[in-house]
Amino acid sequence: MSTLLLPQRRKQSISLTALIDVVFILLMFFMLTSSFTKFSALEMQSSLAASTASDSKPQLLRLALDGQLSSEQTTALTDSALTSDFDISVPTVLQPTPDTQVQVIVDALSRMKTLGFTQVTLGKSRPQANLAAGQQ
Amino acid sequence: MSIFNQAQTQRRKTNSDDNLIPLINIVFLLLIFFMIAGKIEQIQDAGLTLPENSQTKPAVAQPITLQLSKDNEIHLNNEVVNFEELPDALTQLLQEHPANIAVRADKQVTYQDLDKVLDTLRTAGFSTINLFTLTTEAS
Repeated sequence: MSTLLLPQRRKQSISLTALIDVVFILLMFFMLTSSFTKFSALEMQSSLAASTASDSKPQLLRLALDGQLSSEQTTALTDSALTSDFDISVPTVLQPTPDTQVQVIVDALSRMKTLGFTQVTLGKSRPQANLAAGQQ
Repeated sequence: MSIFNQAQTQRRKTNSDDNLIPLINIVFLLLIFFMIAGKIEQIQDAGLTLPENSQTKPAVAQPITLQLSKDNEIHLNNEVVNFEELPDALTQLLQEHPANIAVRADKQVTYQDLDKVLDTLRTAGFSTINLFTLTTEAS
C-alpha cells in the first residue's frame, strides 16, 4: 500500500565507466608498488657476541677465491670432512681471502648452515700466504 | 519516430555497458591477484645485484639498512654516506633503534671492502648483522 504512495521512479542504470576508472587506478597502484622478490637473510653474530657466548676457542676455516674451504691441515674440505673434523656446535670463524666475492661467501655460509654449523662468523680477511697464524 | 529513437539509444547504452562487464571481470581479477600476491614495500635499490641463495630463512625487515654497491658506495637507510662518516651516522641510529642491521651487499663486492664495513658495524656495537640475499629455487 505504502509503496503505491511513493512517486514512481524511473529505473536508471548506473554507468560502469566510473567504476572502471577507480578499479584501473587501484590496479595501477598495486601493480607499481607490489614486489614479488623474496629475500632471505644470513644472520651473523658479531665476533664480540660470538666469543662471549662460548668459552671454547673458535675453529678457523679459510675460504679460497673459488669457494673451497680449507683448514690449516687440509685443503679443499669435502662435506664429510667438514662434519667429521670439526665440531658443528663450536663457534666457527670463516676467513675469506681479501678478493673473495660476496656471492662465494654467501655460498660457503649457506653450505655450512646446511651441514649444521650453528655459529658461523666472518673473521678478518687475510692474504693467502700467511693464513696459518690465523686469529679472529 | 521519437519513441523509436529513444529505445534505440537506450539499447545502445545497455549494449556498451554489457561489453564492459568481461573487461571489469578481468581487471578485478588482476586487482585481486596483485593485492594478495604482491607485497608493498619500500624500494631500496642502489643498483645492487644481491647474491643468490637457495636457503630460505625469510628476511625480516630491519630498521637500519646498509647497502654496499660494487663501486663501494655506501647507502645508510637510503642516504649516501662516506666511509669516514659511517661510524658517526651509525652511532646516531643506534641511539634510536635496536642493534640489528640489514646489510645488502652487491654480489661482486670483494671481502676486503665488505670486511671494512663489517668491522665498522662491530665497532659501533651492532650485535646481529643480517646479510641479505635473493632467494632462488633450489635446483
